[in-house]
Amino acid sequence: MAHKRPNFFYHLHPPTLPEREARFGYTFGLGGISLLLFLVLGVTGVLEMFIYVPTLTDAAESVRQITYLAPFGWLLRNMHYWAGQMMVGVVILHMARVVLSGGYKGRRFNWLIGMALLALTLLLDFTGYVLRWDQDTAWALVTGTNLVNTIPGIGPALYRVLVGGQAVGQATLLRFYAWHVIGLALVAAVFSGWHSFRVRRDGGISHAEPAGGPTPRAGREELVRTESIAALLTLAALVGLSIFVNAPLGPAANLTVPVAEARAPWFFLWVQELLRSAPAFLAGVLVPLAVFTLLSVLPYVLDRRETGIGEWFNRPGRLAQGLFLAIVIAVSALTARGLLR
Amino acid sequence: MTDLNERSADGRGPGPEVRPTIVGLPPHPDRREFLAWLTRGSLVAISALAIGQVARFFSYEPAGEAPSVIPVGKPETYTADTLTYVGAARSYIGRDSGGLYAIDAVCTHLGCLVEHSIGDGFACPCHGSRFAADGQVQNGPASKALRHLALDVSPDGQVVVNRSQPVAPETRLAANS
Repeated sequence: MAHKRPNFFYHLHPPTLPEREARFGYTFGLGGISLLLFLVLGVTGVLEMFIYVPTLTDAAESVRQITYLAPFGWLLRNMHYWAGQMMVGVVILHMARVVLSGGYKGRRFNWLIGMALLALTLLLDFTGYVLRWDQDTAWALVTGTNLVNTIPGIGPALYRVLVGGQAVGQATLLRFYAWHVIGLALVAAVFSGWHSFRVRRDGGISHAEPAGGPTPRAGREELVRTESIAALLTLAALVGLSIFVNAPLGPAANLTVPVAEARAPWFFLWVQELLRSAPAFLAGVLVPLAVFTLLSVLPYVLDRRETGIGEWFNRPGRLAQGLFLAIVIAVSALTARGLLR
Repeated sequence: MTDLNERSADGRGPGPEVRPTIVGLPPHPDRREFLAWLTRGSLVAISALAIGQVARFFSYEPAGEAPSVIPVGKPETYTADTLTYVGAARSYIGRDSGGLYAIDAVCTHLGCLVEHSIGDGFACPCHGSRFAADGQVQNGPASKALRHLALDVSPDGQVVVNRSQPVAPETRLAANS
C-alpha cells in the first residue's frame, strides 16, 4: 500500500491542507479550542453530576460539598466554570476571525450552524449559572424568565413551559438542570460534529485561491502537531486560572428576601444595561433577537460575494466586517458600563 | 365543453382543465408517484402529531402553587410610621393613622424584590426603578405602581395578606396597635 491507514483521530483530519491556512496565525486554532473546551466541560460536568442535587433545598449545599468537601472538587468546579466562560470568549473570537477573514464566503449554511452553536453556548452558560442557586443567579433567573412573559401572545404560555408552573420554583430548577445537562448539551454536541463535518465537506479550511496555480500543502501530522500544542497551552491556561481564581459562590438563594445588588451574568450585562432605560420587551427580547438575526444574515445580505475568501479585511466583506465590529463595540461598551456600576 | 378524450401536454390523461392540484402530488400521477406521496404525507402528519404531543408533555405543571393568603402576625407587632418587610408574604406592611396597609414588594418591571430606602420610598436593585412611599413610580424602567394588597384578620387574630387581591392604595385595615 502506498500510505499508512490512519487511526480515527487522524482520519477526522484532511490528508493535506494548504500550508498558509495550516499555520496557527491564520485561524489561531479557535474552532479547535472551542471543541476542546466543550469536551472538558462534558467531562467535568459529568463528574459534578455525582454530587450536585437539583432541588431548592439542596442545590446550593451540594455545590458547597463539591467545592469544600470532595477531594479536588474545588478544582473540578473551577475548571467547569472557567472552561465555560473561556468557551464563550473563544467562540466569539472564532466568529470574529471568520467574519474578518471572509471565512463564511461560499459556506453560508455552516455560518448558520455556527450561529446556532453561539446561541447554544450562551444558553448553556446561563442555565449553568442558574444551577448554582445562589442569591445572584436566582434573580437573574426571575428577570430572565419574566422577559419571556413580555412577549405578546405566546409569552405567558412560553413562560409556563420554561418555568414549569406559575412562578419560579422547584420545577424551574429541575427543568434548567435537564436543559443544561442533556437537552442543550446534546444538541450542541450534534451541531458541533455537523459544523466540523461541514468544514471538510465545504472544501476544507476556508482558504484563498491564489492565481499562480497549486500552493504548497502541509500534511495531517503537521496539523495535528500544531493542534496539540494549542490544546496543551489552552489546558495550561485553564488549569492555571482554575487553581488561582475561584468560581463565584454566593449565599444560598432565597426568593423571599430582597438583595442590595443584582447583576446579570457577565455575558448578559449588556442586556441588563439596556433594560435599565428601555421598555422590557424591546430591550430584553427584540434587541437581542435583532442583533442575533443581523449577525446570522451577514453572509446572505451584507456580503454575498464569494471573492476575498481567506483574506483578512478583504474588500468585498468590508460592510459585513464594519457592522460586526460595530456590534462588538456596542455590546462591549454596554458590558463595561454594567461592570463599572 | 371539455373533450375528455383530449390528451394533456404530458400525454398521460384528460386535458389541463380537469387536472386536480394537490401539494406535492405531480399532475396525472402514476401508482408509484401516488404511493410515494402517500408515504411522505403520512410521515409529515405523524411527525406533526408527535411534536404536538411532546409540546403537551412540556406543558404539564406539577402541583403545589404557593398559597396566596399568608398570615403575617398580630396587628400589635406593626408600629405606626414604620414599614416592616415580611418575607413569607413578599410585602411591606405599614401602619398610619388610618390603619394597616400592605405593599407588594415585587417590582412591576421584571419581578425582583424592591428594597425600602432609608428615608422614603422603594428602589429596585435589578434595573434601578424607584417608587414613592405609596408605591407610585418615581423613576426607572417600571411603568406600573407597586400593588397594594388586601389585608384581613384571621379567626385566630392574625393579620393575613392576600397576594391575589390587589386593592386601591387608600385602603386600610383598621386594627389596633
